[in-house]
Amino acid sequence: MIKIKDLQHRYPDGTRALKGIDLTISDGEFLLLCGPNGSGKTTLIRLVSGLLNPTAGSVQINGFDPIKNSREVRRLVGMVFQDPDSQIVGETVKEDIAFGPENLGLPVKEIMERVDWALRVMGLKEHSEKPCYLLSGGEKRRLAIAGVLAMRPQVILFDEPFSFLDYPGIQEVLKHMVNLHREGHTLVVTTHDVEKVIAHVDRTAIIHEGELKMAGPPEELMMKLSQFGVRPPCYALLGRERVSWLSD
Amino acid sequence: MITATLLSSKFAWLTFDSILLFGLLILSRLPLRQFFRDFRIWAIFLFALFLFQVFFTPGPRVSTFSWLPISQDGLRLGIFTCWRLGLILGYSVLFTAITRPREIQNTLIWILKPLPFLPGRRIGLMVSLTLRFFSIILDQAEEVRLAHKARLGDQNRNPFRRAKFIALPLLRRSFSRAEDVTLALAARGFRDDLPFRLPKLPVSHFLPLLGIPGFSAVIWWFHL
Repeated sequence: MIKIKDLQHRYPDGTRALKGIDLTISDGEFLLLCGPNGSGKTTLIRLVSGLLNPTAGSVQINGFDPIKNSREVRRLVGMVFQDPDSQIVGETVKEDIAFGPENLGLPVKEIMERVDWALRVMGLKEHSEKPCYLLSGGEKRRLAIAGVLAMRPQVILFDEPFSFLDYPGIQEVLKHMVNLHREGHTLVVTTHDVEKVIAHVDRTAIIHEGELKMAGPPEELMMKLSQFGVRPPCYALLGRERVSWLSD
Repeated sequence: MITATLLSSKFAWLTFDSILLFGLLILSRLPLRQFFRDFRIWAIFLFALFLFQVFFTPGPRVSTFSWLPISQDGLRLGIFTCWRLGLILGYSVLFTAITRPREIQNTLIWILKPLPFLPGRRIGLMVSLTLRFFSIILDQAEEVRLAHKARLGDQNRNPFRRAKFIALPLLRRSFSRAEDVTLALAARGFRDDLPFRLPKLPVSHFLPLLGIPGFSAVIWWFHL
């Protein structure tokens, strides 16, 4: 469980990115964090993963503080960045996936097992020896997810996971997210383009100007999204049934 | 071995190094056109150095071009200096092109391992990432240059102004990317204090070492 209490963050230039967020995310939940650009979504998930220090307030993941217990939290929480090129550090696909498990100090045999498993799950087996710079946008995104999965986190945070992707690429990433949720992982996805994922989430939270405006089931929040600079999905505007991007 | 021959000012050794470099380039199957295109910028520097040596080294003038203030010593010094530097650059380019960043990283870690207080793993990773991201930075530089050109930035004759409007956005993007990479490394639990786990060297990598005593004997015999 993730417990966020009165979380605040101010950047060194004085920008107040978060002004006191209270939010609880249950185990196995699929949460959509939406809001316009600059609303504080990325800051929030970076605080949850312990990459930034909060100015005030607290975050607890299964009782662990991301700053004080960073090693334990690294095992529990994985983060997929918006730009996969920032996240890919290995020379080949296999090497990049192995990076995380190596940092966990695991034995070589277990590292190899985890790498093989992650390659299989993300459909990258045939690309295992390929140099990372030769991958397509969708393949890089899958590699970024595989690199995080190899660390076997319970919680996976996705920061704008559909950026730079075409329609097949979006479907691929969405399919993997749905599978991960089905396997019991807690997923948190940040995006301003809710159309792609809202049909699959358990709960939606709207962040606007650093504040949590609303949180609840997607159906209840659908028509209030536009007040906060987020476009509701087309099916909601047309008064239709929920439509998934996985159904052609 | 190559370093020992490059330090020599003998025509024979530099010729040997040149033939060896050319042979290694062929063996490496690097695209030669790309290699010489990358060398073009260094060629300008070497030419400037050659001119400096030729015109500013004192000594008797070259009889064939007595109307030019070129000394014989300057010409010889210029040729040897540029030839030697060119070979050093050529071997460096070849080494960087054929050695995987991971191997450079492992080598650095192995060299720094016995030195206390030096974060060998971090330094090795930094070097490896620098090599990996260098090509990305060059791509970004090209993108910035084209965006600059799209707004007639290339029409400006002032080279300092042009450099400013290309260098500043590029630096900003590079620092931003470096920050993101740092966060991504932290998110995947990167640690300095992990025990080193270097792969075993294949036996074939030790074979060239057998040739060193013989080669050293040849160099020593020629120097006698």
